[in-house]
Amino acid sequence: MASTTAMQYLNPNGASVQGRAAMHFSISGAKGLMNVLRTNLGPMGTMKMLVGGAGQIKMTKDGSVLLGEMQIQHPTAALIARASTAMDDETGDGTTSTVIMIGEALTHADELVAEGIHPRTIAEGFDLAANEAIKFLESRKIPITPENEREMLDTIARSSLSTKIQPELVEKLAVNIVDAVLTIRRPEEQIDLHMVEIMHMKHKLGSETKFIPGLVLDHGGRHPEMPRYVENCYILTCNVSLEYEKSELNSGFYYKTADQKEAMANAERKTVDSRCHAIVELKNKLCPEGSGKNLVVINQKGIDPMSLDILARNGILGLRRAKRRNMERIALCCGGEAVNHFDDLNESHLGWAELVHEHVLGDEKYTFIEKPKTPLSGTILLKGPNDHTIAQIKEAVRDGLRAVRNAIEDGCVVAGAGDFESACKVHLDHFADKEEVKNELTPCVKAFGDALMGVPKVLAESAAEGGAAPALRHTLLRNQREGYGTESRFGLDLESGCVTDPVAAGVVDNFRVKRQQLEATAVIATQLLLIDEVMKAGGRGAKE
Amino acid sequence: MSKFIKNAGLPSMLKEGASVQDDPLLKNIEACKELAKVTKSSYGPFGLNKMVINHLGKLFVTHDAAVILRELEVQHPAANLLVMASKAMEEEVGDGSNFTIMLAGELLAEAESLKKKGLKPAEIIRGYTVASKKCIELLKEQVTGKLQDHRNVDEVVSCIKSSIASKQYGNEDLLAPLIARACVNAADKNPRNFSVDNVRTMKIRGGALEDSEFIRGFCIQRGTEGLIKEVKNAKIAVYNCAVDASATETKGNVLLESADELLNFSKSEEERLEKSVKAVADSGITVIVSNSNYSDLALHFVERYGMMAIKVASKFEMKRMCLAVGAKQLVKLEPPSAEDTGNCDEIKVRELGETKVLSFIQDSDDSKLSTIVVRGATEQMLDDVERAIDDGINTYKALGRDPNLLAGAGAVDIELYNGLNKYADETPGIDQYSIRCFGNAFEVGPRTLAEVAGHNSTEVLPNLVAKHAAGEKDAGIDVESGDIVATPIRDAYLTRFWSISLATDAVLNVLRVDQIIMSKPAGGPRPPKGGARDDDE
Repeated sequence: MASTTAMQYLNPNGASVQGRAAMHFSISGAKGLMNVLRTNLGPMGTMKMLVGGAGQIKMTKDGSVLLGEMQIQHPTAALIARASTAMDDETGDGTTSTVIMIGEALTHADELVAEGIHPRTIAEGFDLAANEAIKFLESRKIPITPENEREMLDTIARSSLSTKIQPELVEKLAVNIVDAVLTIRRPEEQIDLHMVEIMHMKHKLGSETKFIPGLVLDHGGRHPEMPRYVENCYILTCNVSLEYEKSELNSGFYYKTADQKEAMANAERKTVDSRCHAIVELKNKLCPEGSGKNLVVINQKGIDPMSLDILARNGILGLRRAKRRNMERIALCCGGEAVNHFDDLNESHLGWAELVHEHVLGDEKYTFIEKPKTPLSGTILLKGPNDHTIAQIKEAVRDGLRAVRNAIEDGCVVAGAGDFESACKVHLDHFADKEEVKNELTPCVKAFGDALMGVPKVLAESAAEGGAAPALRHTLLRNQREGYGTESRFGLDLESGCVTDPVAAGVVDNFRVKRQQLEATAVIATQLLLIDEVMKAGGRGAKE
Repeated sequence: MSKFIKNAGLPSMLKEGASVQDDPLLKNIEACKELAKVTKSSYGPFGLNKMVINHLGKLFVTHDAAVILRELEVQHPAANLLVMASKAMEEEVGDGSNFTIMLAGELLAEAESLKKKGLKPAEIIRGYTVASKKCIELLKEQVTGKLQDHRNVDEVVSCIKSSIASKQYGNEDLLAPLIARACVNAADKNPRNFSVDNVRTMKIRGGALEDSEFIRGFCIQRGTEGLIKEVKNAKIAVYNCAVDASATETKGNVLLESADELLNFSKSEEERLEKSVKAVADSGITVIVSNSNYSDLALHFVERYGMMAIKVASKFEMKRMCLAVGAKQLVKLEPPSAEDTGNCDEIKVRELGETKVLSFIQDSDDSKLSTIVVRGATEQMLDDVERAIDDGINTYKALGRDPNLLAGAGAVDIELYNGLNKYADETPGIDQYSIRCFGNAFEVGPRTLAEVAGHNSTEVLPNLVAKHAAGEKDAGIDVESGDIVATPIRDAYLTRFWSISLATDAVLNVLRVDQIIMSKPAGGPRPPKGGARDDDE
């Protein structure tokens, strides 16, 4: 900076900007970020390719992934990015639109400041508008009833996925995701999405991704003689070490003859062997020969070669070092409980699955536990020919699962495709002119409405080219104005570039995502507006 | 103005060293086309070899596209997408990666022309998606035959020949029967269960390729531990532990208080070991295999009781050996039960060149495991033959999963070309342009086939198209003469299916990218600048 600022007295390497310049700095950051993400919004959005330091490739149009991977340095942009991704962690969607709304809000605020309105006033107006918008949002809810539940959930899954992956995959995945969430749902309990295992296999095409109402583990039996394909299985899940463990103390054996040494070697195995025999005994009791029943042991701890040998010789499939999370899932999936010791082991501890089989893919082994009795847990099995396809689908699935869960928990959805934003804009215009709103706040409330229009604006741009986009946007607004106060809904059809009913077209959004967006936009925009100085402490010996 | 406050374009918002490329489509296509150009000349039976020196300085002489691409270490992100497709192809089928790359390159070249005509990427993507679906449909209609019997060597030979010919032209008549016999021997009754791992290739330098042989059973490059080098009608015990006195896991100390005790201890240990080894020998075992070491003492007893001692260090080899002889691994040095004992008709050590080869040979055709011993003059040549053999085996595996066959030598490509062009004519709207281009891309197969063999492709291709239009579905290029003949060459359906699917997938991914954000390359040693070092000296 040319002029000496107070900052430079304090720290000669520091830098600062003040007043309007500081605001410009923030606004340009917000706008910059908005411009980066605007091409990714919506089902017609394009992909970005991210290349990591070691050349690893990631392809995505999911805003939260992009912001997470981009390593943003600009302080304002980083602030917005962090706030938006935090929102995504919570709700699984809406990152890109939040960034766009914040960018638009600040752009409009900039104009108001230029007209001489104090940032404080603008902030007050934004808060007021956001509160009113949330109230309005409540009135636009579309409730989910037991009759239309499945259809609504499919629709919300489809809407969420279509903004993240290519259309061919959306249909298939949406159904899978809803299946998964409905499988793990238990009445009167919160939905725990961890109970859906997301497993990937690197082969075939992304379109072969499917939901399995059972579990897929990414390891297999470690003994060549173990069965690979077993039907009618009891499943024993346990957390018992089946390998010899050294004592914690420094210990040693003393012996005088080779016989003694041998006896000790045998004695050493005894405890572990007895555990294995307990399992074998159980198998013999429950699955007598010819009954067609089998036993599968899934152990969270290790199974050493000797124990594997005992199990294999008795036709038991033993899996070792299962993930802790999977222990819980298996219990939910197949019934039974995870046991921690083998004292009085009986049938009630065991789960049941009709089919357990192993699949080998190159060096990787996978074990499928299929057709359990009443699964309360399941696996979404992702497939794809390469890592970036898998990563892309995985993120989409994660967000899709959340979208469905949110819809179930909210008990409602809201219309998408720009309907809410444009309707809210019209509503805020009406509201701003009411008497209870102070005159000086009126333009600020209207500006917030304009900011909301950021999303439909970008959507219109992706649906129509050049001059057609603003025209489309205005058609939308006109329709909303005419329909104000009624139940009618208008959104953008991106394929044809017309205005349609979004609910009929199958575009809906999560209620909580929209609410969070409104809140986040107001909070962050006002925060950034109220900044009057940006200071940066120069690093020691840093070059200017 | 201080440095941190500048215009907030995307690059300036990112961490230092990162770069952003806007609208990179044409550049990406350029890179992919270049990549496809590299492998193109290696396509087909007359394909030329590439000499690739990888970053470790290892030399490869091959025209296997998968290897060329793997060792090249492509850096460009878009081109990398194609390389990934070829890798996926290698994992999915194990053959056909060159065609995948070529097709992808050609599809992108066509996309470039579409873009220059004014189509938007989204429109090209839509058209290509429609076209690829249609293409797979058409491909299904092209099936001309089936591998009827998976255990018929002659039939298998005719099916895998083209795959081998494209890697080792001139040697296919030698290699194909070897591979076919090996595969049939290792095959299960259910052809889907065939595992590539059950056919092994062993490369031994020296001799000529004609000396290569097929062994019904298992081989390792290793001698025996003891002096017995040959056993007939062997009974085998396999141990998954050291052949030694049993030991405790916890540290053990011998507590000795006098010299007598020391003597007694050694003696008791000897006796103990002799007892175990004798017990094994008494049960009729003539060969002991262990994955661990033989103690000197144990080896002494094993020899004394007339048993052959073999060490197989790798777990993987051990598993295969068990499969070949039908043995089960034991975890303790004790006599095996009858069902745990393995049988082998002949076990012997031979010397091939300088290498000792221990073979477990079975007389009958159901040993489940085959080994092909390849002989040849140079390491590179052996490697290349091995890759050809791998491709052949993989083709057999693919046929096990789907026995359908397609006409080779460019015949299928031209059928698809004609079919898609016809489909384009029927399609209304903007998609037809993309569909036509998608079809045109298939020209690349026969065109390259002709060009690489030194024929005039502008002459060959129209003839080929005309013949197909006249209904001769089998018309293909005879690479030797350049004539159009009803081709006897057959390709596996599955190979083509995956080539098309994966190439399309990669191409669509390249087309979808509208911005590339590259972060700063990670640290680590930089590759030396090309050629600079030599100039200095």
